[in-house]
Amino acid sequence: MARRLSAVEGIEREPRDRVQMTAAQEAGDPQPADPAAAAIDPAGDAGASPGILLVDDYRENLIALSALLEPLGGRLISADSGEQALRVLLRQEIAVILLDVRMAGLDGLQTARIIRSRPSTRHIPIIFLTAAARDLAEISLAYASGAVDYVIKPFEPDILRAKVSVFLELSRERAERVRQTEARAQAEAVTRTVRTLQVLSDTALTNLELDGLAAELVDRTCTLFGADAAGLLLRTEAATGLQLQASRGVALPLPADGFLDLAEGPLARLAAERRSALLRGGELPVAEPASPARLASLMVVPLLSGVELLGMVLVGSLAEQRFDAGDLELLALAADRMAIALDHSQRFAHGRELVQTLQRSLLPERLPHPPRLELAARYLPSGLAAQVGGDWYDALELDGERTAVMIGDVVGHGVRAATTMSELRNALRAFAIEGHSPSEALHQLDRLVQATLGTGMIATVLFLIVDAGAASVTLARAGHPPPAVRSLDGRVRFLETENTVPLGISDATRPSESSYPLAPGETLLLFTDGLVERRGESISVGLDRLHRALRHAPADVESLCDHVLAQTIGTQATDDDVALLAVQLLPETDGPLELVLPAQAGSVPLARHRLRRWFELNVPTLERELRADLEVAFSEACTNVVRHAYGPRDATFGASVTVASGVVTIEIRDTGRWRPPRGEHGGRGLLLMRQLCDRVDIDRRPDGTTVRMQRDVPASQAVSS
Amino acid sequence: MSGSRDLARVSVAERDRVTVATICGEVDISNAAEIEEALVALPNLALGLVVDLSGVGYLDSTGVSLLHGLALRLRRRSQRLIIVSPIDSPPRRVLELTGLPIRTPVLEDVGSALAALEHP
Repeated sequence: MARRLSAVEGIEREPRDRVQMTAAQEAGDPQPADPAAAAIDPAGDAGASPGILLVDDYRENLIALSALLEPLGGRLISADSGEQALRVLLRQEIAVILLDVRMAGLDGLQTARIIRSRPSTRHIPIIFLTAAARDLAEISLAYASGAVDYVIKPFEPDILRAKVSVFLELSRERAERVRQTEARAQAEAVTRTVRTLQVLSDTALTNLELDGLAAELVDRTCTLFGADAAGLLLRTEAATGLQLQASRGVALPLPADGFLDLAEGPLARLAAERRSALLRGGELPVAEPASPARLASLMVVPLLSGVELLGMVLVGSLAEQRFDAGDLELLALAADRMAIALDHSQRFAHGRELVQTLQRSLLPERLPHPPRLELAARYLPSGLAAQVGGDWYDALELDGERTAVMIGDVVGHGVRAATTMSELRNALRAFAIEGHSPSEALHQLDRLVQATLGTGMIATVLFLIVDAGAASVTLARAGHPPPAVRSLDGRVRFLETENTVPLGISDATRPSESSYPLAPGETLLLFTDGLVERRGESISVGLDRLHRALRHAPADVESLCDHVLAQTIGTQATDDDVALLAVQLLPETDGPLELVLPAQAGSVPLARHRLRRWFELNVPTLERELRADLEVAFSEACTNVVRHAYGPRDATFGASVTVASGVVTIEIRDTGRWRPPRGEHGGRGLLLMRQLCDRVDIDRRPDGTTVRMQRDVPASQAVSS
Repeated sequence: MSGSRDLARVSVAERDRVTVATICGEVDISNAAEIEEALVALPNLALGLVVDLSGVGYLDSTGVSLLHGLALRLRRRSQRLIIVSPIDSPPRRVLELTGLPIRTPVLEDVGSALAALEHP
């Protein structure tokens, strides 16, 4: 124990102590199989608890990481240098390594190279921790394959936890398979019980969700034991008690709400001590509320996963002598099977939440705002089993004029597809930063896939570079659907390219590259096949549907994405996940700002964002305070429409802004009528508009209201760019 | 959906008998209700609440109404509200124009707000 650096010990010990411990470790180091080492290190018997190795040369960082990762429940082992990390790896089972890149002595990248070169540690996933963006390209290039990820300091706790959990989960799954096999072998040795166990571990049960599974298990148990009552309790989230999940027959001796506090009563005591028991007559707790039919005997068996208490199964009879010790033994064996099924089902539910967090962490948190482009993206997870999909997108400003935009689809679902997608995304980013053209970048990516990801990994990617200065787009595809372009007059075309073989198929072809003009105001739409593919339908039907949706979509990219999704996917559950990314080239100079947005609260920040962009592009000379004033007046007018105008549910409102002869004019138009302002608030918004502008006119008509606000601007500031 | 923009974040810290809520981002009709929800849960024994707007880049009448409502609610419980908003910041101008500082103190920084609450 003295030599195991757990999180808590790491916090309490002084650094001096750490040095001594390291020295002690070295003394006993030569044989990893040293019995003393095995006795000290509980890793051998704690197979169910995989280790998380934290490597950082700053003790404060180790403590912070430990605190962050403690809730995950893995064993935390700290190492304060690359050397020490390598020593820990010699004798401990490690599920995942968090490795600081910048360390004195062996740095993170060198340490990782050694870990990867040893057969016994090659498979261990590594998450690099780095504060320097310039490390990223190196990491992406050196480790584009294998389970490698990185987080940038300071990290988002949720994202770091999600990433670590995924790797822990993989290692637990492996341990789980071993455990299930053992449990099964043991149970099957008891021939008398085979039929019972088969009924309770029927493969049909494995497809049930938790609620259905619990109900089915209770039903089958009740029938098998000829019981008058049966119930299944599961541990609650907070782990303070057990909650009745399913029951059948006569009332069980439980509180009325079905919640059994682990601190109270004889049943709770049995659960806490993980004991089975056959209770008779007066030994039974009393049911609440008292029921006319009272159970005279009750078998109580804990549901365990390893030593962890999952819940409890209760089987009761009105006859005192209905069950004997043999029945209790049988139920205990059956409980093992139930626990496996329940554990699996709970993990599955937990896994679903986990993968959703992971999916979010894999897509860019926010898209860049290049000066002349407006970007918007949507991601819809698959309606089936809600697993992580392999769809991804990304965008990255290369310089003032050029922006790299990419979208891809890794065949398959689940953690593996998601990990692969994050590797592809990182590598492609690195190639883009290095200045490769789309065709070259995809060629490099293909080589990487062939060399490292192995056979059977298929992915499609579309990579394009939008050049706002040259008003053009250059693209290459690897088996991915071509992007669509919607021009100002609503025409829709698809940008085709030659030689598009998915990544991982063949090493001979190089995707060709094509350039197309992109006019200001035109919108590119990149998408994954989930948008156009439907089971039992030709893809051309889906493409036609997209064509129509895009033709009639609103100009604004955010609204455009929503419209396209509504018209193509609607409310139906999709078999596949769907990603789409819209990119609009903004006009170069003046021209008024023209917006049409849904009359919803969410449109207000969007409209303000557009106004800011328009000011930056068209009147960069406008001073900051003036801009801030106009932003408030503009937002207030939009807020009034959203708050007070009423019309059809899908009502929209229009906003326009112009600068001419020293006057900024803002107009907000709606198609409803204003309710009289209620309370203080309405007055406050109008008051602000009047104070912030030189003129405010409100034109109320039966078919709509137009608010027109003007602010005089010093001539020196009213210069268009 | 990844299209929604995260406009503002609220973090709440308990300091002795004072709660300090720091808002960062933008406050408008699209998120005022959420922000209000984060601000109203004040322990009964607290002297009062400091709402720090130093990190707010945009605030309009919706935000002002929120602060007014909050001040009234606290006054009924004999707790005090102090707003922190530096002079020359965009929210400060909106607060001044709507007359909020007449009834609720608006101070330069959290330090002076804490001092004012603890030594009224």
